[in-house]
Amino acid sequence: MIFRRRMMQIVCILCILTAGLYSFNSLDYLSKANPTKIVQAVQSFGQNNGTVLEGGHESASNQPPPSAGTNQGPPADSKREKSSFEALWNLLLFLGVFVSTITVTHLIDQVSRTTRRAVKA
Amino acid sequence: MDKNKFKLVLDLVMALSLLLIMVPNILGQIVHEWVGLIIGAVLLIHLVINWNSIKTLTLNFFHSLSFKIRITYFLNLLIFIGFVSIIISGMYISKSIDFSWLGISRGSGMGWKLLHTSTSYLTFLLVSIHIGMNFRWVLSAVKPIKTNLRLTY
Repeated sequence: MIFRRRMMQIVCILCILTAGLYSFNSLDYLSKANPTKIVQAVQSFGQNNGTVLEGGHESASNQPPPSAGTNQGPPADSKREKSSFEALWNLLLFLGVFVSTITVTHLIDQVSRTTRRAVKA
Repeated sequence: MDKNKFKLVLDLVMALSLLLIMVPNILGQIVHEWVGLIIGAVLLIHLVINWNSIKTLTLNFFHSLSFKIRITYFLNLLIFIGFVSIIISGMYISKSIDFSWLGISRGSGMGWKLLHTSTSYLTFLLVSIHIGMNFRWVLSAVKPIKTNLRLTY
């Protein structure tokens, strides 16, 4: 029983942490989102090779390639590494939100059922 | 395969694909778009399979339903609207699939990308709540499979 309670506490803490991270990420996304940029990008779509990432940030394909011998921009490998890390991070975040929301909703459902049954009894 | 098992497999596939589709960089743009369309088709199958309960709830919505069921119904309606708007906005910003035969031209709409992303975030959360609310059914559907496995091994 004590183990179960401890596990529940850990799950709850994890839920709160992921929810916090998710809201932070969402706020960050919303604050960086630039509707005008998105509209421009959508309108000019098909005319160039540029793609728009979430939040209206332009992707690497829309930026000029770094010229040889100069220090413009990080190397392509590090960019790819960074974007794959970001993708993995986002996936983990979504997984966390998914699992924690399901757990919390299920727990609330269980508690309300038990309370209702107890009241009836 | 009995109906419950089929429903469980279908829902599991839908949940996993939804999770993967939330990060387009993981699958790549082309797979992201095709998986999105497949999820739309699977959603239709999900609705057809559960049509009886949808019909009963809709017919009794203004009569004898508890508050919880009303909330669940409203949530499901929101999820449906969310999916429809995700699919439509996705068609407008699609890069690899051509929807011109539907009269949808690429990039003709304003803010489709913003609508697509924000609606998908919201719908993702609502779907998680939907699964959490129906998790008792998931557990009851998994139970016989678990028992079978225990008996086999």
